[in-house]
Amino acid sequence: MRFQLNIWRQRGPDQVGDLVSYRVEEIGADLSFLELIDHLNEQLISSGERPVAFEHDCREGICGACSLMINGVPHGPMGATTTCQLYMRNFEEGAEITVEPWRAGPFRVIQDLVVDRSPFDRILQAGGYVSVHTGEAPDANGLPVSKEVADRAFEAANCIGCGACVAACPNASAMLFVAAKVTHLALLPQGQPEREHRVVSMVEAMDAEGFGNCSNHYQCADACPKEIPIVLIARLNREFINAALLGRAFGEHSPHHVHQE
Amino acid sequence: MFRLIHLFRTSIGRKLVMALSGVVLLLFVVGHLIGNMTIFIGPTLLNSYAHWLQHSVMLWPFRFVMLFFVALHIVMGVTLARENQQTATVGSKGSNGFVWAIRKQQMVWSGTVVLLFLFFHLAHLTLGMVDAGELFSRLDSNQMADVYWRVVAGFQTPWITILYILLMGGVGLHLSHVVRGLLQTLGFYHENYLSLWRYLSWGLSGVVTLGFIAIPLAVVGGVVQ
Amino acid sequence: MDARIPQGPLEQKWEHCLDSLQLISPNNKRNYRVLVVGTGLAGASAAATLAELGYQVESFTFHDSPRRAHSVAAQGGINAAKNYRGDGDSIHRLFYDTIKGGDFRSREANVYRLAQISNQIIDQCVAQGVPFAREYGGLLDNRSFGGALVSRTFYARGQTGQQLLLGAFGALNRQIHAGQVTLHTRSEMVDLVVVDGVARGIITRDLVSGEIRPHLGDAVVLASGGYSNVYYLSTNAASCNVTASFRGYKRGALFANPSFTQIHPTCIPMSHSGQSKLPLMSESLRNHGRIWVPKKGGDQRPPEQIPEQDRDYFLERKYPAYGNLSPRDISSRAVKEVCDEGRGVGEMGRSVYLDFGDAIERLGEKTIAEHYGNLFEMYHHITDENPYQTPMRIYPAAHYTMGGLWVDYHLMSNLPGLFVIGEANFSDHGANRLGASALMQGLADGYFILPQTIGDYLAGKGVVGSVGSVGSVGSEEDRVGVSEVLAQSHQRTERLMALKGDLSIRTLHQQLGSILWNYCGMSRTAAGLSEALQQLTELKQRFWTRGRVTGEAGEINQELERAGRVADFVDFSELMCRDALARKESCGGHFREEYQEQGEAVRDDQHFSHVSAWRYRGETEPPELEIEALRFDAIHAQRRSYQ
Repeated sequence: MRFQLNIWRQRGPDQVGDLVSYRVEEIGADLSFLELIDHLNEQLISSGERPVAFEHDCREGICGACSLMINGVPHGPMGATTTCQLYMRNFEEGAEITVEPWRAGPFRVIQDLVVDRSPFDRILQAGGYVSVHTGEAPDANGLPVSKEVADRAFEAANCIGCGACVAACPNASAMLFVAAKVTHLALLPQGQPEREHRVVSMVEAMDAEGFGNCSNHYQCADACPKEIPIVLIARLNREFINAALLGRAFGEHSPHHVHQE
Repeated sequence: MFRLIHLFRTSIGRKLVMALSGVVLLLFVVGHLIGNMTIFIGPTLLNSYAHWLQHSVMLWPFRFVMLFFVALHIVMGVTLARENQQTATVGSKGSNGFVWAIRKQQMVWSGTVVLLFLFFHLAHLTLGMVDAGELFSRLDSNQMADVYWRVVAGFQTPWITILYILLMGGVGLHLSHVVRGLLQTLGFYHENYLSLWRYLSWGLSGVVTLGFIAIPLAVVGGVVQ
Repeated sequence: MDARIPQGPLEQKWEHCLDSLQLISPNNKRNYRVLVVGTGLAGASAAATLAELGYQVESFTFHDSPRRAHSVAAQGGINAAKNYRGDGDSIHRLFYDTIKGGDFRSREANVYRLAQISNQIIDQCVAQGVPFAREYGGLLDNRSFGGALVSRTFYARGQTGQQLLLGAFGALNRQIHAGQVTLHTRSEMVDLVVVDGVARGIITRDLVSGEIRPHLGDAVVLASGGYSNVYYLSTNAASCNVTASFRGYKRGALFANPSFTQIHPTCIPMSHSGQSKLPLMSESLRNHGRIWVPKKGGDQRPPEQIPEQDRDYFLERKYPAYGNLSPRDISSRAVKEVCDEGRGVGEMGRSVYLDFGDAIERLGEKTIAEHYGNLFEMYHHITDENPYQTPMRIYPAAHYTMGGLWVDYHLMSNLPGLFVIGEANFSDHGANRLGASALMQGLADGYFILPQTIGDYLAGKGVVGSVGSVGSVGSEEDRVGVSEVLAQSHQRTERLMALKGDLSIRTLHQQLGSILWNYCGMSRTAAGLSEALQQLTELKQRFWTRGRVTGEAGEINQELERAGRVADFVDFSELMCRDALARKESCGGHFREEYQEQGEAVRDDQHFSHVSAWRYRGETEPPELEIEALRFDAIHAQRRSYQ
């Protein structure tokens, strides 16, 4: 197969970027999209040009590293896939394909197709966990969890942190990402003790990172490679409003879980 | 109180203000529609309803409250839209570019249409600034302001009627996004009731829009005269 | 080499060890700084637990986030001897299965401890909110894995590794938030700082700015994973590499059993030359899938049209007791064997069927989807074939490396202060790892073992607060040691940047991979390994004369990263082949064609019941082999049979 690729090239965070066109030929239909970029890079290296920087790792759709905006759609046109699981057989012969990084306000472009997704990690650091010390856990079967609840929690915990939801959102809102983590732990009995604190801390961290507001476009869920359901955002709102209106620690300085010896 | 102030400083809190003020305005619109529907019963009922409204001691307090919510809704909407402008995702959107651009600010532009409609509507039928003449002074047989006549005469000019219907369409678009988004923001959206909420959203906006459009159409079609 | 295995009966060794460890007072712990390299299951759990205990922790990952470590891709599950099923499981049985699975090439004491700790891991993970699969009654579900006759594997659909890693990542995040852990993302360890024979710190390269800088600590923990990518095509993520452990080796740490690599039987077969990896199809699929090939070679009929009597369910035939759940090394070899006989299927004839027809008929599509939904989906995406309708095609691929840096019972290498955990060490799996044991070992090391044993080392140092702020240098010796290593790291980067030949690094890596796959893969011979050593010498020369690195050193330069990793792979593979050559027996994943009986591996316990640990002696000298003899007191090392 042959393709024309328009790829975003940007040398550094403070430099101006632009779309640059490349032609690739003799591409097998079974090549994945990332292997296509590998192929292009081999081509660039052999002609002495700088290869395209892009993120990828596991190449089986679970690490969340790959992050390409393909023809304006995060992870490309297939739906419920990551870029690494997108195969060239899904494109038409001779197609022109535009490849860009996630260019959302809070995700700074570092180089070419590589962006900084550390805001996600800082949101999780604010409270996306159950505070349990190693070794103090009770027997695993001590607390039954209904299968339906466990399955729903899993559905939310399925998030791979790729950032497609933010890239898809016209406002660059991170609500679906935060909703997934909040829901995962809010559903399980293990998450109950910190339930209110968690949602408040995480939403405040999300705001502080400069993500946009959710204005109910539902683009995030359409773009999510793991099909995190849109209703989780409603749950996040519910959890947050509940904690803010009826919870105890809202509005004070968030209590941190500093370990006291 | 500090708790509420703090809440409204968060993104979800601000959305809550949008949603709650929206609920008030939505209730007003629905009430207004029900009142207007009396036009199909006859001049007497509509005129006495209007008379009762205009002479109620609550008229001005009510108007101030509505003004407050309209202002709150607008201020908050503009704030959110500006914030979103700053964080917005950028990039060529491929073949989706146009749709994307429209969708992206759907509530802002449809909200602007609603505001325009509001000005137009007040000027047209409340203040009589458009094509007024003897429209406003006319009294009916009970010596009450003849609102029925005002409406019938008001929709005799084609451009006014067309403008009214077009703007009303914008209002409908604004509303079509409202119920589902409202339930989402307030946290009531639930996987067990997904389709119910969606139908409710389309249904409510459809009923309101068609209900309001029905009046000028009825006038033009001669059903109401 | 003193493995420091505690005295006393097997069941009490770990308890004895814990009782005799020197302790550090809670107030003093904060004066010690521990550097943890890697944020997979082992690294993240260790960093979090050390921080909970009060140590200052610096955590390093070359990814943009700890959550991307390749543990995230582990699919099938994690073993524990809970015996929730009441099917006769016990700590002793898990211990026995693991030792036997490893073909009696691992330490009894370590493996027994692993089995003991396995139960605590499940408790810990559930408490963190890991959504393990549950039964309708609300209790935890289990499934079976290869090499065991009980159901002891806990799982979260086909994404157990992801869920466990998110649990450990959560624990790590909590400590980052509390200020106990400093996280360094996009920082790749490029060397180890050893001063006076003691590990004192590491050198990292910032993958964004290119800055090369030292970090000093009171102990260094390597949790940098395995080296399956030495084969180029493997189930590992693109950036998995041997650099951190190989740098440790070059600084004096012993590398144990480098030739013990695991070739996993159920992977998506190779189909085209541009392929960058061979995705794994979880072993758990063998719970319901049946493996077969046509009885006659060259049978061109589509699988659905081949009747039962023309199919050869070769695993069930050869190993009736374990059948499709035979251990990985044995299953992989059986697959290779039928393909070598010309009975393989698919375009290149290098694959076999993994058929769910029976299971779908028996249990329905829905149940199968619940177990393996995401795996079926993944297979469908990659191959464009629907496994619900037509059997999967699979072939073995490099997956896991049992070999790694040598460690004692305390998980410390022979270099004082250098600890190695998870896949990076050699400790618990002998010559073959059983399915669902890697997650168990990574978390046992990280949550429960290392955080205890490291205190003993630090207390023994007797130096409190020896390290100031990050990057600053304690003593004069440290200063000299650091600047020397730092200069070498700079030189190395310059040397790599100077590569301006005509071959891309990827091409060289592909060449390396095919040498190893052909001569040091699923079966090995003395002649082949000697040939490989010869070819590796040429390859190394080719690398440094014809390799090409583009771009600059002071920016994101993925070619430079690749070059550094491949250069180490090339050097390391020589060690691998040497080790394979020296071990004149067949055991586990190490199958020497000279030592077999009707296709079954023949071990030589008299001469090779030991760990081979290699010591680096400079560029020109060959490495020196050191031996740690293995003793089997609790169980008798017999011929491994799954028939």
